[in-house]
Amino acid sequence: MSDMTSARLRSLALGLVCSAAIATTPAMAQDEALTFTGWLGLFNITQPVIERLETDFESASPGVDFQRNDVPFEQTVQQAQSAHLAGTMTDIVQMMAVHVPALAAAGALEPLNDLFTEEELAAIPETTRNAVTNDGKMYSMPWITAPILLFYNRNLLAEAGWDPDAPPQTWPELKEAMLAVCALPEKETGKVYGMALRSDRFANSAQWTIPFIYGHGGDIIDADGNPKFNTPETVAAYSFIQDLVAEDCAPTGLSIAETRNLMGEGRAAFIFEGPWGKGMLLNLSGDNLRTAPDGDLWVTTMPRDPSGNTRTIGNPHQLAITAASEKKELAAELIRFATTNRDFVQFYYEATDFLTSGNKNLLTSGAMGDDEYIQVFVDALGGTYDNPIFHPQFNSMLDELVEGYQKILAGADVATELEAVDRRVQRIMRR
Amino acid sequence: MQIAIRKQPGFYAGLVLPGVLIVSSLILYPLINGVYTSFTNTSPLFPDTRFVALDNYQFLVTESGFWESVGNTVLIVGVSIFGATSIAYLLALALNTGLRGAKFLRTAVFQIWVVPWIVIAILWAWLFSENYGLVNYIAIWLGFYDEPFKWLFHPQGSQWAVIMGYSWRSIPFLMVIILAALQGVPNDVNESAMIDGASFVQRQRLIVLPLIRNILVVAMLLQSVRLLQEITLVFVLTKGGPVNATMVLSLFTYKLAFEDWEFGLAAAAAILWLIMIMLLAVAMMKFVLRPTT
Repeated sequence: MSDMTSARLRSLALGLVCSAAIATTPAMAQDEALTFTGWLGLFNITQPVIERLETDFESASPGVDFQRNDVPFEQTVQQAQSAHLAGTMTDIVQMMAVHVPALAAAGALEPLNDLFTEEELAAIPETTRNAVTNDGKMYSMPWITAPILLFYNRNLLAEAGWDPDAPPQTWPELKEAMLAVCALPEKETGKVYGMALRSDRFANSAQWTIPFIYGHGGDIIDADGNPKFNTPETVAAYSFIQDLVAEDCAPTGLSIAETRNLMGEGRAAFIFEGPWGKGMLLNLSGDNLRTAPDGDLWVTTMPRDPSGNTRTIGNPHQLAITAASEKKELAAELIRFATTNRDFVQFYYEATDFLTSGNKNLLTSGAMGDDEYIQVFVDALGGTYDNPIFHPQFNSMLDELVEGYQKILAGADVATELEAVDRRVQRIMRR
Repeated sequence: MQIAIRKQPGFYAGLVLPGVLIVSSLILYPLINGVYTSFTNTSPLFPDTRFVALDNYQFLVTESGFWESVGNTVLIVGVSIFGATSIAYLLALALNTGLRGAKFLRTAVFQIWVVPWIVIAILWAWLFSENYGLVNYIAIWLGFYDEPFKWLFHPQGSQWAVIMGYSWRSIPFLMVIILAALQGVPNDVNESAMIDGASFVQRQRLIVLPLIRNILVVAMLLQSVRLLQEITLVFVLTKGGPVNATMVLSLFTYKLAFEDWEFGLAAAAAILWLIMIMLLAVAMMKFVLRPTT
């Protein structure tokens, strides 16, 4: 073989190798994409968490490319519904428990029962599971469990003559404490209130009144599971709130942010908040109000109802697999990793002070198990109802309730308004 | 022209076709689809979409919330338009006299026009805040009241806050249109009236206003439609509250569609709303516009 021929053959061989390399490169580089929609990437505090999830999960699952789609928290449900209708849903969507019924009814979510073992599901507190379960199908996995509890300003309680180590245990005691605090002289920043109460025209304001109803022994569903607002217990609960406002012990018309500002300024004794309250109130107070058993603020379970029970609402973050996903098993793997991988769960907890799993074993062991603050919330999980009604139009019902709630705060007759709310809710139910 | 079209119908059809296609796809199709949807129960929450005849319309006309929204819309948009037009007219008159700094004033006022609604909403929330708002601060300082007024949690207070926002944002557009109209009024007419002894007010009422009447009405109509579509201010500022006092039709329809997920019902509300706007436009054109000579 001549040198020229050899050189040609070598060139040809090299060319073939290069062509093969080029032809196979895309296939080798094209990892399996797993798409995720959520809001963690949009907050400074949680951005490292979602980045860590991406790197850790990709390391644990070679060949998987985790692709993130950041969506503002308040637009999640609208975006998810739109994406579902347009057929562009990602594999996994982060949402609040309250969003689950509407998306499940739309057929946008895949039940998790066949993707997780019974043992895995049983590790989640029953009330937390029930909140996202309908007809035996569980539609999402709790990621951040979040009972709404009673934060209180220990300094204000002490000023009002209450022992800050012995916060109110019943609703009448709570009212007494609130009235005592709001009788305190004005601070430099303004009047001091007993409670930072949400009451702007937002469905969430109505949802935040449900603990008052539970506290008076009531519920928002009747024995048949239908919504019912005009009951003696609910009337008592809203009369309780109406009295507070009439005594000028709770401001009216405040949004979520405004109530937090009021609490952060040290001008309210009590506020209903989730586990995020600790960091949020510290920030809003300019690092002045520290949440600790012996600090400026502390948290306690909701006061007991007349039968001695404590019940509250929750606002947990959930992870759901979409019905449109073609990688449901892989999506389930990611959810399993995010909610039960001890290192990752620990990292998320350390970054945020949240309850970073729905798994009770993880919540009660390790660093979270040693955290007194976290354990107050964990103890409340059994009495936490994240979705008091599993109905796709629960939000619309709350929207009707908030209208009545605002009229009540303005002095309207409580029973009459609640009767009107019931009528409007029945109209929604009949459609 | 007609002969040319008859000779080459394909050529002329080709000329208008792009326009017809664009209008059909962007305006006619959504309109027809909206009308169709209003007769169905379309919702992502219902597994099957079915024809419900007039059920959606019947539901709305017997729904107190819908009529409250209609009433609020008429009040808020109506007062805003008349308020804004009055102020815009006075500003335009001032600018039309050629006073010093008129150009600067015209530019400054027109800056409001480019402020996004979301910015106005945030500004208004600060201005009317019960505890920190400038409005309460000034009112208490002037002695109008002793304690902060809950502007955004008082039904009438919140309506006035929205009316002021709508009016403020409407003034520049109306002012520019009115100024252009005033500049079209012949000087000699005004001067003759002055020589005849007509006062300033008489000249405005009997000469200027009748002359610019049609332009004024069209400007008011255009701005009314713009305000009827507006949702940002009420959505951010009051969310329709307190007690539905600022629930205008645009927000009512939005909530039906994107909070209650009742697309059929929302489409019916939008159609009723469209009919009301058309009636308003027809009424204004029939009873207020005057034929020009």
